[in-house]
Amino acid sequence: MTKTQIVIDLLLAIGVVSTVLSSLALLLRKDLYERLQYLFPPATVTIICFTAAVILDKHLSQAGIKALLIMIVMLAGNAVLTHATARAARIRQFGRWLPDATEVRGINDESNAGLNSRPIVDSAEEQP
Amino acid sequence: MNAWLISATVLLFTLIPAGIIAFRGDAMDRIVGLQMAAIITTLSLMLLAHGFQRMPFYDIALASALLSFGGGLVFVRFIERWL
Repeated sequence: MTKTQIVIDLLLAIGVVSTVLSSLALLLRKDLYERLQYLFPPATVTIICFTAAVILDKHLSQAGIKALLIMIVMLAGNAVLTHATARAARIRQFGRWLPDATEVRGINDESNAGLNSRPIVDSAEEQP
Repeated sequence: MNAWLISATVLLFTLIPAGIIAFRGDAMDRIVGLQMAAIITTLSLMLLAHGFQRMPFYDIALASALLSFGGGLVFVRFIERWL
């Protein structure tokens, strides 16, 4: 077994382990925004490892160039898609995308934006 | 069976958690499961193409990556506005 083959196997193993862990984490997490975080390892770490493995094996041949193309599409596409999903979830939750000036993150955090924020109108309704 | 095919086989099993999420929960959770499944499918197709030494099969993985991006974006937009 050559050094190149060892590196290829290592890259494949890193990619597979990253995807397996992300997939399990996706199942174990209950919050949507936490789940969205776990879409990134397979779409970044894994695809970079696999593309590097293909290029090490076949160099910049037809396979290497196509693997690079797939990597570029996945890197760019997943970022856009994750943002769009988070945006859709927030709009479904709050009815708007832009944060309201009355929104607060938590008890001690006075910043006026954030996904865990709640509209102050809802908080006011809960008060006696 | 080489390392590429073994990796692809293991990746296919990671579709199970994504499938479980896609079959339960609310609409947004299902979308996330679908997106994860699309990513895993693209990666598996890429590994299978290399494992079987069929370079034209890379086109299927590329098409899967492109279509899952476009389809996911349309789906998310639809859910954001109408569901």
